[in-house]
Amino acid sequence: MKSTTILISLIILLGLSWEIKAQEQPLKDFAEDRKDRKFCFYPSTLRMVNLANNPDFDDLVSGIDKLLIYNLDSTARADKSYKEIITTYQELDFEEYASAYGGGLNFYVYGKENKKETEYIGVVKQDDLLTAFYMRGQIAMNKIPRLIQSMSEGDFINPFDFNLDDFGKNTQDQ
Amino acid sequence: MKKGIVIIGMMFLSVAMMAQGTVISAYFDQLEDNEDYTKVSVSQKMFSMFTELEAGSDAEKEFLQAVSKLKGLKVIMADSVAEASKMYKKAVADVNKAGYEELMSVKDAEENMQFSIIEKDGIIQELMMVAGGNKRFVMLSLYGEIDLNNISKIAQEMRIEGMEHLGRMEEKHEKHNDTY
Repeated sequence: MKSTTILISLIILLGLSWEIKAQEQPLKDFAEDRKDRKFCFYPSTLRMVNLANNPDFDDLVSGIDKLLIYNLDSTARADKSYKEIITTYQELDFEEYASAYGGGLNFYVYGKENKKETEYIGVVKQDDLLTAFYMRGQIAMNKIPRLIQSMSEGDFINPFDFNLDDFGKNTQDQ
Repeated sequence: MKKGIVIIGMMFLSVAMMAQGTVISAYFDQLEDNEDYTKVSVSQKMFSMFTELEAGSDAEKEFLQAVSKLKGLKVIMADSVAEASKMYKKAVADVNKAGYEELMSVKDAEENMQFSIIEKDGIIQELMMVAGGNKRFVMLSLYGEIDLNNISKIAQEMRIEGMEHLGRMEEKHEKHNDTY
């Protein structure tokens, strides 16, 4: 009896972990061969980008379990294949939360609510930047406008716009 | 006779369905591939997320309450289009033709603006704003359950380009009330 319970629990656990993994997998499958850079954040590393200890930022990220960011390459921009990400997740029952397109800006956010958490997938294209992200957890939406302002004031590193080239320059200058 | 009732019923249904965001949706379709115009859409799903948040200050509480009753937001905007004035006239004509009630219009040298609503049982279900100048065009539709007193709070907090005009509506609304 005991072994049956353990077996059933294991099957349920495996099933749940497969479901969670499955939702980020389509983005990984698309982006791995088309990425310039990839960043993976967990709660502890997300707090590290908050240089000025902005409390709004901490509030915003406190519910995030995982954030995957891919800076996609010029091919994905040129052939507009990034749109496949949206259609793939639509097929996985992700619903549109917000979108903006035209005028040089393309921005799509889709989400799917599970029992305990919500998963988000998004694509942002502006000028030379094409970024796709996957996020799992809860996000305090009302903090976003204030954070955009803080971002422009340099309170913290914008995780969607890392420029790793600058790190090398600083070291060489010294 | 039965067929007639069905047709009349369908007509009423189509008018009711037209009520929320149909005019602006038609413009979304029409301008979908036009890169001169930025199209923004925020769904009910996004607004419903605000209901799960805990408000810190009273201002936040008021904002969250106002936003949680919204069902969607659609904005079309262009900063530099030659046909802005023509688009404004056409959009205003389409809005009026679709049965929206004009709430207020502002005409000045730089930009014209019209605010219209769809109201049912004393509740504003959609607020439509059309603005057009020499080169600038904005069409904004906010739908759900709308309290005009909270419009500027929503506009201020959301910081979506084009929404700053909604704040102007409240200013004008207050001035108008002071006059009478």
